[in-house]
Amino acid sequence: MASVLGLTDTAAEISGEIADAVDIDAAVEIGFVKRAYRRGTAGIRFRTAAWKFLRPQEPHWDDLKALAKSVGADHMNLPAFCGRLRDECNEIVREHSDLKRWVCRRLALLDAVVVSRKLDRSRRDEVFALRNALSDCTELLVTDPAEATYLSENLCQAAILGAGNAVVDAIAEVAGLNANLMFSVPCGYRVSGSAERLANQDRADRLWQNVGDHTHRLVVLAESTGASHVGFWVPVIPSGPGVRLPGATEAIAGNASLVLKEDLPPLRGFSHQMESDWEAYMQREFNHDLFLSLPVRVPGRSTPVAVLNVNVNVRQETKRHWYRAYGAYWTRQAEEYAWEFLDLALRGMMLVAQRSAGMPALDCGVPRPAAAMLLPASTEVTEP
Amino acid sequence: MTLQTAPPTTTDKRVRARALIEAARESITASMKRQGRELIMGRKSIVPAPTKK
Repeated sequence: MASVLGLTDTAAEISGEIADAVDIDAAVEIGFVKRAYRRGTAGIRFRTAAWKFLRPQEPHWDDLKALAKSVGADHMNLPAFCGRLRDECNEIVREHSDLKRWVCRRLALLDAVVVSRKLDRSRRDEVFALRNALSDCTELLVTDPAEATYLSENLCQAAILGAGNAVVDAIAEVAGLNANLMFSVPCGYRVSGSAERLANQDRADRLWQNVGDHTHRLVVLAESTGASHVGFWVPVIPSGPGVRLPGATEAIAGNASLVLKEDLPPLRGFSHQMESDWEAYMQREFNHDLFLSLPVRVPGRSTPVAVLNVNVNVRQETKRHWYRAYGAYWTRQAEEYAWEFLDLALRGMMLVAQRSAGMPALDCGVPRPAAAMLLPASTEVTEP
Repeated sequence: MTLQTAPPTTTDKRVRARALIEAARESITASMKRQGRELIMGRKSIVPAPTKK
């Protein structure tokens, strides 16, 4: 440790002698001189660490220990080091406000070490109730299909709201939220139903009229109560070098995608007209502070089967915490927290799709309930 | 001794499913309220109305 701190062996010996003289156990281990050195140089060492941390090459989890060692702070435990480094980064933001967004993105990694966010305990009760309701809905599909469909729609709405709430549990506080589920369908599919759904579809038609060729689109087919996005769609365009459409399109390729209204990510590989259409749409029509698109993965499938969008309004003081969603650690945790609700929503959607006119054929890794397989006739009790 | 219970009727299932979904929805909105989160309805933001017990 002495060499790491730049102390000479002599200095280390002296500190040991001092510690012996004052006969304090802790002083024997650390040493008065070392402690004085650490205190005296902490400011410059952590400022150095902060600038190293903010360099263009994005640091990874494993780099944090090496960073601590490089500035002689490896005697600290990692959360304490990261907490102090976070304070120093915030200090840099105070001095250089232009760097705020850059620093906020980087803080996602430090927050992953320092901040612990937990799923609300009530999620377990909610999932349990919805799972039992799903079981009843599945059985009702035989005897009362209209009611089964109606209840399944309600179940989906509750499950999607639960998923959105779980995502917020995982990442940061919000003032308000709603959520929706998008599914991939061929371009020829058109929603039917209420005027609101048709208007959402028309809005998307106008927005993406210059996007170019694509064979599939992601359509909002279910949402939390009253969110009013069903019918809206985005094109499915394979991302690659030089091509990027943030949001659900990115999520269906397997990468969570955060879109902050005040810090819009760039579109890549599209015409200037398309870029300006999208920016104008986000500024004028998108009435939330941000949205997070998460891939919905099911076991046995190599690619996501749907996309969960969580639309969020944030309070000014917690806005910067949402930059965490640029970090894979946070979005993986969000996917994990939301998973049980998403599983329920997918199964509910399959029940809805079974009976509802105008629903596309969904392939989301969940078996379509076949009426003949639902319930043996002998166990069903018909009402008098 | 084995307890024998009648299998649930269609009405039982309908009532139970409704109650379960409503309970889940109430629990989620109550959790949101506790955390100071509102449900955003369409273009407006409202606090979910309390459900009558």
